[in-house]
Amino acid sequence: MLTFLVRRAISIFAILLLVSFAAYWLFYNAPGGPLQLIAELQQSGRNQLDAGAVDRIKLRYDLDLYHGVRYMRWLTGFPSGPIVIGGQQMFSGTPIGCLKEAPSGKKVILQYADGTRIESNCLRPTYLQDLMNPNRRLSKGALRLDFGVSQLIARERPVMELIETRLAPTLLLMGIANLLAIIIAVPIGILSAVKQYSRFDYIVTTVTFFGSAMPTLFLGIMGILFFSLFLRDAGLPFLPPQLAESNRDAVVPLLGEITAGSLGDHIWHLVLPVSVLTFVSLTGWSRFVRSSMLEVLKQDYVRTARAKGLRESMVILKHAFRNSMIPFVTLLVGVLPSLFAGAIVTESIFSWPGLGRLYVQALGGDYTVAMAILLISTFLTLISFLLADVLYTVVDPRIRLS
Amino acid sequence: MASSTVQPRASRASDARPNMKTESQTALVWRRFRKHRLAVISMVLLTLIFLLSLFAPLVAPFKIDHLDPTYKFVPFMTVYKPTGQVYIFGSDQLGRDLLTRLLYGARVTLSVAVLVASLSCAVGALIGAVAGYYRGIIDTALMRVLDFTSGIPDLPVLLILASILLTDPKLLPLPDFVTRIFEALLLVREREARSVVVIVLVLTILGWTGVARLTRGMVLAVREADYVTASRSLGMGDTSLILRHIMPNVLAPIIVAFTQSLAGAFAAETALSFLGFGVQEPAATWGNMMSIAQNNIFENRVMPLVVGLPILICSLAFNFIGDGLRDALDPRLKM
Repeated sequence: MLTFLVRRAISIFAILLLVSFAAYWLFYNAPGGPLQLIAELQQSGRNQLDAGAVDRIKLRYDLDLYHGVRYMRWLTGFPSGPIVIGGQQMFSGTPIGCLKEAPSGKKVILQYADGTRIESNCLRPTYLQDLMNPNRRLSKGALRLDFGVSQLIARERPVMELIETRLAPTLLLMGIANLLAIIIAVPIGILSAVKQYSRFDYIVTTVTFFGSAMPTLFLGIMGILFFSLFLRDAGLPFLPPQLAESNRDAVVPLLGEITAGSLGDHIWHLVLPVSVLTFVSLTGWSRFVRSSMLEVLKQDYVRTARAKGLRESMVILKHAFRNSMIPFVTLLVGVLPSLFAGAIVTESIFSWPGLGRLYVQALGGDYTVAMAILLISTFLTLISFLLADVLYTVVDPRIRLS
Repeated sequence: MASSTVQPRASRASDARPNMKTESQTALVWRRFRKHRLAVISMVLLTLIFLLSLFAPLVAPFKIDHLDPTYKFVPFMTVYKPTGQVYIFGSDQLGRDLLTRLLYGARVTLSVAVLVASLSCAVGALIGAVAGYYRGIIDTALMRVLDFTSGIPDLPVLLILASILLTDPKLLPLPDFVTRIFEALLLVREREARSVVVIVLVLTILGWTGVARLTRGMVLAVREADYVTASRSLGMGDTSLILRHIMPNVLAPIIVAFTQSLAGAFAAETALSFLGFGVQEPAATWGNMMSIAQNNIFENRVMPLVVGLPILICSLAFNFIGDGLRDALDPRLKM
């Protein structure tokens, strides 16, 4: 068990490193980001930017450094200046980036302090000692959960702070939706398996099949159309089409006035997105519970339990249900990563101020934020797989980890 | 049905008498598939949509670049005065005909689905079969890759790849003729053709692993079967053994996986272009039309329905066909 855990921990770490490196490389080469914003501002000519603005931005976000160095600094916060060994500064003159590139095709001659001359296509190289510049941001590194500062969405705000503000709405939405889905799906699945081929089973299989085939996109927009717009047109109590709280007080037929920002307002806004998400997970899960319950009901030990003369409710709850829950564990643990970024489409449809939507916004050019969300959700996915494996041994002692 | 002279009992090989006409595998599957009424209806509907979108330039009431803001959000069956053409399903915020755009959009959306499903099934089945048959280092490598890809969250990675590869053409240089083909096939401009290719590639990269895992598992079981051993002892080579004896026996689940990945790729493409990471306006796809519909939902309540229904119909149809095929190909797989 211990060797298993250690091996998995190492592999999780390796995968995270690989993902972070690949994503960092993609973002490093991607257009957009703060420099493009400045270029657009300069082109539009409305804003007067002094000549140093570009340099300052480059320094601020480490944009002048070479990819490898920048990645190292982002990941670990190292190097933050010349390497000190025994009180002596080493490598302070090593070039690690380029603040200003030479016009394309031209070479410039650089002269080092010790007199050596080299040809380079960089006008102003950045040396290791330049990392001491107070304009640069000191980062503890992504490994210690310091993902730097946001570059576009909320300028200069630490990424972790931004994520924290968006975490609560996502957790609330996904938490309630998943909880409701489990509470409803499990009994429905069991009942329709126990009463296989009954009218109830027929209805459940039909509805869940349609439900699981229905795209979230369609369901969400139809939800807005019917429950916010058509109901409002008809003068009935309606649900808000978007956001997590109202900007101003709203008057709803039958429900009365809803004060913006009150508890009632929050609940009112939760209903529609939660229903959509619940329905989507509900349909898949109840199908799953039904089929795994049907599988178990065919087993010999269920027949034995019946032959012993146990009450049917006892047979189902004690002997069949508990065993049918074993495969369900994996499904449940799969919820964990979706708590974080699983609701990207739903959050976008309902303009829900959560992490999924933050991620979509961040991909528009705020790459530090996108990196952080990607890495955290990858981490959660990997951890949830590990958790599923460990939980398997708990619910089913026949399984051993090796 | 009436034309079928096949007797049901003949399908059971055990009691087929020598002179009795036996049913071929294909006929058997087709007979079982026909029983699944919803699957047959779905098949007909999808074929219809495919054909309509294939002949979009001929059947569409308007030219694809037609727009007239004075005719914005007109209701069903409005006549366009200057030419006498009819907005059958109404128009969008720029006075573009919805039916025309739906038909042209179907070319993009459905081609992406079909291409992604075919490519990922072909690649996945090939790699899975080779790994399962030869074992050894290929198998180990495949398993590592599968471990890796199962650990990364799909949608976030998909969005990153799509957003970056689409914004910067230099990161993923495509051969000219590929974009040409797509330009001609989808009747879109070069930029959009490139987007389609990128999306197909990205979805395939994320999609082949499931099929590879499935095929590998099946091949592992089949390669030990007696008939494989028999063929090998008769001197059959590896390639023909895999193609003639192993693949036909693992084909059923792969076909089912194909229909599932059709549905998956369809949903992914609509979601991507809805979120603004797919094919961009003014080229029409069902996803970006849905996004327009949502942005104007307060002004116009018909467009979400007009665009939403085809999305619903196709997505249900893919699933029904998958279900019908699964039951027809291998009744044991029935849920």
